[in-house]
This record gives sequence, structure tokens and C-alpha cells, in this order.
Amino acid sequence: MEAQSDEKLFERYRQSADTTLFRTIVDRHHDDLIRFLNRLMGDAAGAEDVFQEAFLQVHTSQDSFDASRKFRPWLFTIAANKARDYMRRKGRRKTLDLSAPLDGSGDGSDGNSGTFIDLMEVRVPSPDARLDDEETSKSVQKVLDELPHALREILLLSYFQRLSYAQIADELEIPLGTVKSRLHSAVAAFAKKWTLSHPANA
Amino acid sequence: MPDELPLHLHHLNQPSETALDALVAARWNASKVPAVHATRAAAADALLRHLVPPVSAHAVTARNTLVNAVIARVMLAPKQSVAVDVEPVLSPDDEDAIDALFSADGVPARVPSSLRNRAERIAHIGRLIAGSTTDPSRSTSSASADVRKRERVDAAVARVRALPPLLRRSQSEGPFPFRRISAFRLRDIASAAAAVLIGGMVLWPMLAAGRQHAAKTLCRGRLANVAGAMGLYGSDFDGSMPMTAGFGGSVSWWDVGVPGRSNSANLFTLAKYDYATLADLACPGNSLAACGECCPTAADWKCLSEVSYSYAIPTDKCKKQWGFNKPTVVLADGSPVVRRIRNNQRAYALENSANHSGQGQSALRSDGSVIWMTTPVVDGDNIWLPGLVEAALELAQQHSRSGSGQSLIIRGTEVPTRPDEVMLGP
Repeated sequence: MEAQSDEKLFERYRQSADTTLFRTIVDRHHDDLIRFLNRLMGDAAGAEDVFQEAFLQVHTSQDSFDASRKFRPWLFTIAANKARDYMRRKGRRKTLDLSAPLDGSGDGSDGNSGTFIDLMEVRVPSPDARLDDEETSKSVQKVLDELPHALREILLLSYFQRLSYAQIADELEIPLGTVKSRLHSAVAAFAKKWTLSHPANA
Repeated sequence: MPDELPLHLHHLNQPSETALDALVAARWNASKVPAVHATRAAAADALLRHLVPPVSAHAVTARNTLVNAVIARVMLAPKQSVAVDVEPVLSPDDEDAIDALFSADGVPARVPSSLRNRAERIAHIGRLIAGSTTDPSRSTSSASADVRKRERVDAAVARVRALPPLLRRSQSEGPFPFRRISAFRLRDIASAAAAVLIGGMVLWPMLAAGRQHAAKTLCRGRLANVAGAMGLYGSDFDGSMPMTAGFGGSVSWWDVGVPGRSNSANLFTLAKYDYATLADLACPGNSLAACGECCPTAADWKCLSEVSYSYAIPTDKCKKQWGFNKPTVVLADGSPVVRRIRNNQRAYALENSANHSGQGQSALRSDGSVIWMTTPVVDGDNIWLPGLVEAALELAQQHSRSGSGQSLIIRGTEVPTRPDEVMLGP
């Protein structure tokens, strides 16, 4: 059962309503989805809340799933939408749709003002840096929290799903050009902020 | 200063953009990026690898609890039917034919020839709906039908004559009220109805979510009031938490309203002796909660549905102390396990309280803090269940990974066996 694709498992669940199949799906995506939500929301309790809501939505909307598409992007898109609703309800942050223009910068790609970041000059952590270092993790979260929600969302969605631009645009139903420019801006903003917050690593 | 610019005004330079595009095209696998972009792609990869939080951020036990909680909620949630989304739509020609038929007072012969065929079919459907398949303009009525028709007309006229003069005038003088509608086309009315429907569909979930959020906030506020009441009670009674005299806890602690038996009576003590009001002990998510004046002779709520919160079951051996060093949950939104078992329904160990639509429960801890729990498990302890039942479930889960679906057998006489064991009821 573990070897079956998500799509086949979900199809079998839709036909049989066997909760052990659904459990396998939840179990399989738990780690990635909870990490994604933790990073997106910066709130562990909220992430658990949204995790449950996302799978509940998957269950209640099972008939609307297009079996010809991939399950994982569908799940992550549902989770991202639920997270956005959650944060809007809590009033913690002003959130923007992914397709909405950013303040004063059009789509973020054609503004003439601003700085240009060269990835060659970014102070990246050393290859042997411990990824499970709690301090590093907190530091990353702090940097992410300072990004506009739309940038944080596109960065995390694309990184955790590892999809091509075309697939992201297709799943999120936003223009391919917007996906590209948003991801460029997101990586630039993250790199800039990271460099500023880690001068000692230079 | 560039550093003071809004973050979205920072851009990658051209080589970096190309390297990032190549990295995305390689599905974020830097080793597969063409050599010309490899250095920058590796830098991006090294930087973004830190987006993945540490594995230890989510312990294995919490992971299992969360997965089980999802399954428990899924088992209780009905799936949506997609059939309701499919709404039949008339073709533009049929819409025009309907409009034309209405303008022609329902007579297809007066409809322009281009739409007449459609209008005739629509008129026929209309007669089917009205219960008559004969065209009144073409029919040759039988004698008996004429008689019935005359009788109906006479009866109607007689009723109009019987009306008071003023009312009769208003009905006879004014135009037939529905004629005014003919100023609108049917499609206009349909459009307006669709706009109202769509507006409702958009607004309703937002309003519902807003209401749920407000209920959660109010609930937390009320638990904070109860914390104050617990503190006052504790200072009057040597740090103890409310417990009625003679409560044994070993005989049906869920018999709400039966003197000396239900655990709810222990909590009711706060209202009975004016440490708190009944409103403080009423969750806004419980529409049946009692929140008026507390009757001086009352010692408990009248029935389970009036009780909003489940309270830690005390025993003589395990008396609860307010402000105890290690904070434990002492009060939370009503236990769904108790409510289901009392209603002869199947109970689920990981179901959340119904007070907040199954999303979770607010809980008051013995140090006065109020927390929101997305599952009924805290520090590995299920707040709805006796320790023995939890142990049995764990055993069952080890053998068949479907512990959340196990039937729960609780008799209402179980009591905590350890001072730090949390078990709430009713």
C-alpha cells in the first residue's frame, strides 16, 4: 500500500471510504505539510489547526479532485488557502492573494527602484552547518516572518513542492510570469534579509 | 539606503535569476543544474535548504496524535456532494422565447415567428407544470368542465363581494399586482437572484468563520474569569479546588442533576457560592447553556446539555490543588466522549468538543493559564479518558494502527488513579 501513488490511494479511498487508506495519505504527507505550515505561519498551534482543516477539506471535497492531476499540489494549495484564511481571521497579518500586485512595485519585477542581489555574494551557511540547529531554525523563521505573505507563500509552496514554474502556475491558477517574478523577488528578499541578520557568518 | 527599502523591491541580478530558473527547472536539485549556473544555483540551494525546519520540531507522539485527530474528524465529517454545483442554464434563445411569451400574455400565437416554436414548447411545459395539458385558447371544453369553471368563478365573485368595502376597492381598482413584474424580464430577475445567491455563498462562510472566532475569544475570556474564581475559592479553602461534600466520584459522575453524584456539581459550587456567575460557566458555543440567575437552592445544572465545560474529576485520594507546581488541565470545553456515550452514540477518543464545531477546545490549567488545544491530548494524556482506557487504546493501536476507530467503553464510574492524571467530566 505504501508504494502506491497518492493519486491511486486517494482514488481507492474515494471508492471505498476506507479510513486506513486516508490515514496512509495523512501519514505520508504529515512531515512535509506540517513543516510547510510551520514556516508559512510561524505558529505551531495554528499550523496543527490548519493541518487538520486541510485534510478535512480534502475529505469533504473529495469529489471535486481531478484524478488526472497530482494530489500533493492540490493538498498544499488547500493548506495554503486555509493558512491564509486562518491568519486573516486572527488578524495577525495583512495577507495578499498570490496574484495581487505588491505595493508600489507592479508585479515586483518591473520596478526600476530597488537593489539587485547576486547570489554569489549571499552569505550562505556552510555546508556542514547543522540543519537541525534550533537557533538557525528560529533565525530562518524570523527572516520569513518579515517577508510579505505573498512572497513567503510562493517561496514555500514552490520549494516544498519542487514543481516547475509551469506546474506552479497551473496549480495556483496564476500567470507563469507572476510566478517567476514573485519567486525571484522572494529569493532576493530572503537572501538580503538573511545576509543582514547574519553579518558574523561573512 | 538600500537596506531600508521594502523587501519586495530587492531583485536578483540577471545571472542569479537565470541560475534560480535553472534550479527550479531541475526541481531544486542543484547537482542537475548546467555547469554555467552551478555556483549560483548551489548558493541558492544552500540558503533555501534552511527553509525546512528541524525534524525534532514535531515529536513522534505529537505526530501520531495529530494524524489520529485528523482521522477522527474525517470519520465524523460528511463529504460534500458535487451534484449541487451543477445548475441547469437556459439557452439564450429559450430565455428570449420566455421573455417574448411573457410580453405576449402567455399566448404563443402573438410571439414573433422566429421564436414561436420555442414559445409553444415553453407554453406546453408551463401547462404541464400548472397541471393542464390542453391549450386554453384552442380547447373545446366539455359541459362538465364548463360547469366546474362557472362554479369556481361564482365562488370567487361571492368571496370578493363578501370582503369589506375598502379592501374590495383596493383589489378592484388597482391593476393586477403581478402585472408590474412584466416591467422586468425574467432573466433580470434570475440575474438578481443569482447575485443574491452568490453573495450569500461568499458571505456565509465568512460570517460563520467570524462567529466561530468570536465564540473562541469569548470562551477564553470566560475561562479567564473562572480562573479568577478558582483563585478566590482556593484562597478561602486552603488551595483546594471546588468539590462538594460527600462527592465520591465512584458512582456515575456523569449523572447531571442527581444530588451528590455528578462531577458537574463540583464546578457548580463556584456559581452557587457567588465565586462566578452561571454566564462565566457558559461557553458561547453551547446554545443550550444555562446563563441566567443561579437559583439559591440549586446544587447542579438540570441536565447535561446545560453544562458547557468539563471539570477535572477529583477523588479523596487525588484532590485537585489550584496553582499546583506542574500545571495540568482542570477545565475544558464539554467532553464529546461523555456526551456521545450518554446519548448512546459511538464515541471517539480524539474527537474535539462540539462547542467550537469540532475544531478544538479551550482549556484552563491549574496555574490559571488558558490554552487552545487542537486535539484532546496534552503531554501524552487524553483529557477525556481514564488512564486505563487510554492504555487499552494504546495497546490496540500497537496491534492495528487504527486506534482512533476503537469503540470506547466508559461506565462513568472511573476515577483518576494518579494525582497528575487528567480526566474531565461530564
